[in-house]
Amino acid sequence: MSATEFGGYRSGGFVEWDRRFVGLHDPPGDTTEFWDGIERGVLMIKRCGACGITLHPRRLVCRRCMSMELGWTQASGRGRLYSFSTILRPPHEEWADRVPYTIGMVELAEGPYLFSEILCDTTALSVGLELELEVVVAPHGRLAKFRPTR
Amino acid sequence: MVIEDRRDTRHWSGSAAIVGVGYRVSRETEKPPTPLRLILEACVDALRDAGVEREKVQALFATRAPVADQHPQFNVKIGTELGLTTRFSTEVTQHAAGTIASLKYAMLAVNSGIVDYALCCGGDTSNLWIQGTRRVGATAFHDSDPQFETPYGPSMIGIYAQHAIRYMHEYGATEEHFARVAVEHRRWAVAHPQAVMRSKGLITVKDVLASPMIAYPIRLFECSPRLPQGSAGALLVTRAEIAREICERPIYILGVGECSTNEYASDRLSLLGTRSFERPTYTESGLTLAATDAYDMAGLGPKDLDVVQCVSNFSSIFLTVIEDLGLCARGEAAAFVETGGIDFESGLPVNTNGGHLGFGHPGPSMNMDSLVEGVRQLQRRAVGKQVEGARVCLVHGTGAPLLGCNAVAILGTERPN
Repeated sequence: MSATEFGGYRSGGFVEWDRRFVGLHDPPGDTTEFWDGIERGVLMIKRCGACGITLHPRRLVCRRCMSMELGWTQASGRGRLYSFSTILRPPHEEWADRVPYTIGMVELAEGPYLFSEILCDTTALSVGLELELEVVVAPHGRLAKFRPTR
Repeated sequence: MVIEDRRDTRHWSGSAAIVGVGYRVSRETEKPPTPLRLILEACVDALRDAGVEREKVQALFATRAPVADQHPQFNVKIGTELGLTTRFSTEVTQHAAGTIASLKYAMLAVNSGIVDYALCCGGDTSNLWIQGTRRVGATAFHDSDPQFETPYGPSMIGIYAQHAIRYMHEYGATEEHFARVAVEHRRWAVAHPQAVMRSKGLITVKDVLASPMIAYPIRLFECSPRLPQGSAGALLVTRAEIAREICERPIYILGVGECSTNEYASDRLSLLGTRSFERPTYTESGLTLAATDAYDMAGLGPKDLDVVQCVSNFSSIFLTVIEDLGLCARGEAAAFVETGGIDFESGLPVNTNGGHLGFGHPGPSMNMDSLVEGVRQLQRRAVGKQVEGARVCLVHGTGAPLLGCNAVAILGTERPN
């Protein structure tokens, strides 16, 4: 399944679980370049065509100059851990056999912050930990995760 | 944070008042009601409490559709059942913060000349929305980004825990500080007959630290329970001139403010470059702006508050809440709590129904629980511990993760001169 096929948007009410999480309740048309990048093993983020700052892949309007001429640029995949939490009680049975796992916010070297899973021994976790991208094949598609820099 | 564009809104202070209150809490021993039924019961009670016929109620401000129902334009559904012919009706949704913000819409509406009375209402039932969440397979449900957060398995607790880690990192707070917040909330809950944690009894810091870790560093006793199984409230608002005539003890709206900054946690850290936030942060929120607007309108400050009802869905976020509200200085909430700032006997009375940690969190209606508790304290109709001589109460409501949306109302027993 290519990244552009997933997650047909259905409005109203509860939507049954689809083939993957991404796209749930959410038209993916504005972010296909991000997901196609993940399929290729690279991290794509937004860059403002007018003022040049880099932005989270979801952004549609530049936070600095309000330009909507946002393009895509490949990020280095490096960053630092801004914050984290190790989940011990899973939010849903889908994750029941995966606890404990750690989610966190990664401050990318380029500036934007990206929510992700941190593949790391819990004793090594600390704010500021140096991280690098690792694309992982998950049950519902490839996902951008991070591990400590080797 | 940079606070600019402060305006003179003092003329609004006390221009409207609450003249009727209805409130329903559904216990686990009952057959679970639908949220619509619960909200309607509260609305009917509010009109009876005020002695105002429904023909006079021309404005309806409903909070966001209950998570347990999800019917769009829920305000119309409510108005239809009540038999209202509304001329001014909408959902007020900054997520659940709209519960508190609706008082501002009501204040503006009843002073606009378009309507005389406005009904603010909302409610939810947790058992039904938890079922719905399981069906979807979502994690933090509406509160995690479906593409950029949900795939990684965040729980709501895991998102708030990231604030806790930052708070510890930036200000040196400890897990004991978070635990103390839970302990004081439990003391209020034990004194309140409608609080779900009342039956669990008092707890100590040691008890909290011994409770199971849910999402590091947040433990079970530091999470709000998804009970009671439902709650709903309704408040009838009119302008001050009418309130004085028809109501023995109107509760005046002295100040209101709201501020929304983000839908998801990731969005919060995209605020870089917006004027109010010079740096992205989890440990300061738009609540600072909402509170400033409310204080400015009321002409009051944190020192003037007799009672506070604020957000405490997790013990750690409570520390940033009281800093944003100005109850203590930035970074000093842990010391404030440690030195008895919110002590049940001797501190500032905060969350007198036990708060979300002690009263419970039946979904987005948790802000309605706070609001009704605040009004009851001022009316001297508290069902738990009555704060003697309470004349001014601040109520804070939130929605969206990590204080993404906030609304503040300052209520009082007297109209300012």
